Formats: sequence, structure tokens, C-alpha cells
Amino acid sequence: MNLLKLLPLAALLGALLPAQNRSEPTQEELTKLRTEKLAKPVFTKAAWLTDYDKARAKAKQENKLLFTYFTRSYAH
Amino acid sequence: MHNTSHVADEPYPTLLQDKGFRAFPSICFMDTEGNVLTRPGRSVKAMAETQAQTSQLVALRAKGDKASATQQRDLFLVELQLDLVKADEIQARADKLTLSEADKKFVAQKLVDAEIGAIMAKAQKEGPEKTGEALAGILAAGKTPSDQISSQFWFAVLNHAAKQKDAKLAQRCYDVLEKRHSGDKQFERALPEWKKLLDEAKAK
Repeated sequence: MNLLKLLPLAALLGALLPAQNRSEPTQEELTKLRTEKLAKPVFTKAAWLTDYDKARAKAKQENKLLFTYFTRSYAH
Repeated sequence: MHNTSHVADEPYPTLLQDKGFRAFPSICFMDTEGNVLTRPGRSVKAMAETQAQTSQLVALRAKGDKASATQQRDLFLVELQLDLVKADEIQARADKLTLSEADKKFVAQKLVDAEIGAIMAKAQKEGPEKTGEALAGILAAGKTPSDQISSQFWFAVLNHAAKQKDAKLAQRCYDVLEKRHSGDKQFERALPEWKKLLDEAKAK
């Protein structure tokens, strides 16, 4: 059987702050958190895509499944 | 607190909810159209197994009407492994296929697990006593849940057995719970509570 290969997609849906009592974070803070999260080994050690449209298009082109990981700045 | 902050350029801010998930982090396998196919467990082993099964699922579904009898059987079995067959459709689909004795046993086990799942899904509405009684009825009928059934099942029946002073049933439940969770720090406090229920069942 021709098993489909896998295309990892990390869907970073909003970089949210963990603390409940903090004031609304600025866009700069959120962007920084997202960048820091994407620099973690879990994302740098594999060819993750963070663009949902591009990931689906690539998966279609390469006949792969999407392995999708929904996370945000403070989540593991 | 429901925090809705997100980076302004995020093109799919509600994708998590759109795909039927509630919490971060969540993982799944999707097809190329973005349909969620399966949700693997959190271990590497579980992910690898689900990946293989999902790939098989997609390949077999792609056969459509051209699928051979063997492929139709394989599709049913992989869908059953992935819990993608509705409980009330399991038997009807199984009856249309030629299954080996091992396959039939697997189907029978899934039917037992589905029966348990249906009872546990109503637990909040029915309350712990009725639920425990109904679940104990499964065991009394000679049916055994698979290892995939959560410890909630055994805990619910243990509670029921303690109230009914059914020492034999309580011992069976306790033994399963102890085997599963002994040495697990998360259950350090639960194990003595379960032992108390066992003692309660044994007390005259």
C-alpha cells in the first residue's frame, strides 16, 4: 500500500499571554512571543509550516497527510 | 479568563474551534482539504500508530466503489480501530463483510466498549449510582471492557460495589485500578481512597 507521507503544520493561532491579570498585550509583545515560540527546538528540528493555506497546498502536491499541532505562545 | 488576544496578521484566528477543538495544545491528522481525520494520543508510539492507520484509511477510502471485498473489510477494521464507526452502525457493517474469528472478536470488543461509552456519556445526567449500577451490569453480563476504557469505568463500578457490599466485584475493580496506577504519582492519593472502598465492600 502506498502510504501517504506526513507534512507537519504548526498552527500558531494567536500568541496569548499566560497571566490572567496582565493588561492586554501589545502587538509587539505578541509578535515577540510568537517568534520565541517558533525558535524552540520542537519547531526548529522539523520542517514545520505555519501557513495553513501553504501547508494544505504542499500536502496536496506531495500526497501527504497534515500533522497539525495547535499551540500558542505559552502552551507546550 | 477567555483571552482572545492574537497577532493581527493571523489569517485563521478561529481555526482551532473551526476544527472542533477546545483547548491548546491539540494535535490531529488532516487530509489535504483540511478535514480532521484522526486525533492521536500524546505518546510518540500512539502518534506513529495513528499516522499509519490514518494513511491506510485515506488510501482505502480513495478506492471508493472500486474497493475489493478485502479492501472493504480492511477499511471497516481501520475505521473501527480509529473509533470512526458510529456505535449503532458497527454490527450492521460487520454483518455485510467476511470477517475472521479474530476480526469478529475485535468487533465484539468494540461493541462492548461502545455500550460502556454510551452509559458513561449519560453519567452526568443519570448520576453516579445509576451509572455504577449500569456499568456493573456490563460485567455481570460477562462482558469485559478493553484496556482502552478509562479507569472511570472501574472507579464507578468500585463505588457501586462498595455500596452493594459486593466484595468480589470490588476486588476485581480494585485489582484493575491498582495494576494500572500503582506507582503513578498522579494517583498517589486516589489509591488509598480506592482501598477504602474495597474495605467498605468487604465489611459486614
